Amino acid sequence: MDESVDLHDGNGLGDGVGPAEAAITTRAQALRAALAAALPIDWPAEYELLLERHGRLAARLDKVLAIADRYQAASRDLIERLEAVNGQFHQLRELGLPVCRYCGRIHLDDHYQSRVGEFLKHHADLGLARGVCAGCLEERYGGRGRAPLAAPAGPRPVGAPVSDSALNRVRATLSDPAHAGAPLAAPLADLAERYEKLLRRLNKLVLISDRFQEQLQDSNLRLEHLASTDVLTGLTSRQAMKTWLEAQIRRARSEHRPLALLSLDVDHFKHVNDTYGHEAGDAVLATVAAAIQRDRRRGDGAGRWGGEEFVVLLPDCPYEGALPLAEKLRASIAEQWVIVGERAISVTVSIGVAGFTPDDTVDDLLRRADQAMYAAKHGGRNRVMGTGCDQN
Amino acid sequence: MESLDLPQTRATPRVSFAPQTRTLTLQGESYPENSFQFFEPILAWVEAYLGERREAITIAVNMPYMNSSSTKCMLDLLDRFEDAWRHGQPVLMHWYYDPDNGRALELAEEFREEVSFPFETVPARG
Repeated sequence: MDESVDLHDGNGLGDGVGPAEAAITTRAQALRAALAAALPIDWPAEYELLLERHGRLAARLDKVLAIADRYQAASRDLIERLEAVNGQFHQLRELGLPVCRYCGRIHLDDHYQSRVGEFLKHHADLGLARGVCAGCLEERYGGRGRAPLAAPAGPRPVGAPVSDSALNRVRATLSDPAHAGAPLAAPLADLAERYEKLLRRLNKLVLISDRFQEQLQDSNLRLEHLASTDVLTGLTSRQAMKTWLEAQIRRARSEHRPLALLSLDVDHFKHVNDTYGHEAGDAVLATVAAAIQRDRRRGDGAGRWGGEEFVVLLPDCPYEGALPLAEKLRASIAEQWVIVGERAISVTVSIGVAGFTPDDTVDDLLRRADQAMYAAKHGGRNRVMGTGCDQN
Repeated sequence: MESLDLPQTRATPRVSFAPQTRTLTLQGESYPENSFQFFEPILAWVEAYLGERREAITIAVNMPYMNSSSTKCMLDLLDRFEDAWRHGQPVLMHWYYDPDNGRALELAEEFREEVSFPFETVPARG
């Protein structure tokens, strides 16, 4: 086989090529074409070459399938493990210290210890579980409500005609009238057709496999979302929020970025529960959560921290910038009415604002935001107080 | 003609043929350890069937998930039916998909593109 035929492999011109180079390349290509046309076609060699490429492509297809199957099996395993962990997590919630949400007292009954013992006996492996952090979930789902199984955006790619350099060359040879009726032309055309079909099949398989894998990833994320979401309010759960807080603090420290944290507590929540019942209390919590979701900036993380306490983390936001945002949130909640049956209840919140300093741990930042929130409570409720960055 | 009736397992679909309705059904997820081994008798059965029978045949596929090699086997299976269709045998596909899954219909379209016989996508939940 003359090496010169490989010169046909030129893949066209990149956009960045200047006109002078383009002209030279075009001339070179024309020259090569003329040269190749003048050379006799080595039919057996052409056939051998395409056959070899066909074999290589078939082997590549087998390899792709083997690798993709292994990835997919790993994905499935992961999902099954996650489902198991999710189940354990929900069981574990049942075993949490029986603290009354409203009076705050712990009610230990005789069965509690034995329930915990029984659980740990069967779930000794519990303790370490890796997952997707709240930030990544936020990025994918915007942290709002139930995670949807979204269809991919945009039109689906239409299967482009398949070709590669070997196929292009054979096609050019076969379509040249000068070579019509050559003895090996028919078998070569047949092989070229098989080669093209194999190439098309490989592309199609990769496309379909990708879609199945995306589906697996979707269910994976949905499960993560479920495990890290507070059921009543749809906000991030305390545990997931804590993980995210830690990640954001590390980032703020290493990239020297500002960070602020709001601690938000519903005013007179016990009174609402005692007066109007727990359903009213739940409606108040849902209303406040919805207001937080609505008012927060994109990228802010909001979580339910405990009974009627929420936290909002504002990445890249300095303490001074967080104060007006907290005030806006406070005002927007105060304007709301919560409708319970035939009653409309007004709801207000007290918000504490803390700004991050590089020495802060998660607990430091939370403690300062809480202190500010209690100061707001003592200051008469329905207000925002801050501790800045340097008051400890 | 031997009958075809494989029960569904965790990683393989139920595969069965109902002679009265001449419907070949594949139902369930497919990610066996060795897909080629699993699909080989199915492909052989289909080839034998199409070799000796000329009546219309319906294929009902409800497979929410296939691994890559199962996908390859499914495409090979479609090839057999496509050949029969091109030789004048009536072939009809009912491809069931989950309408709650945004990607499922697109996946069905990918398979549909590979054949020219009638290929109906049917929404089916659960």
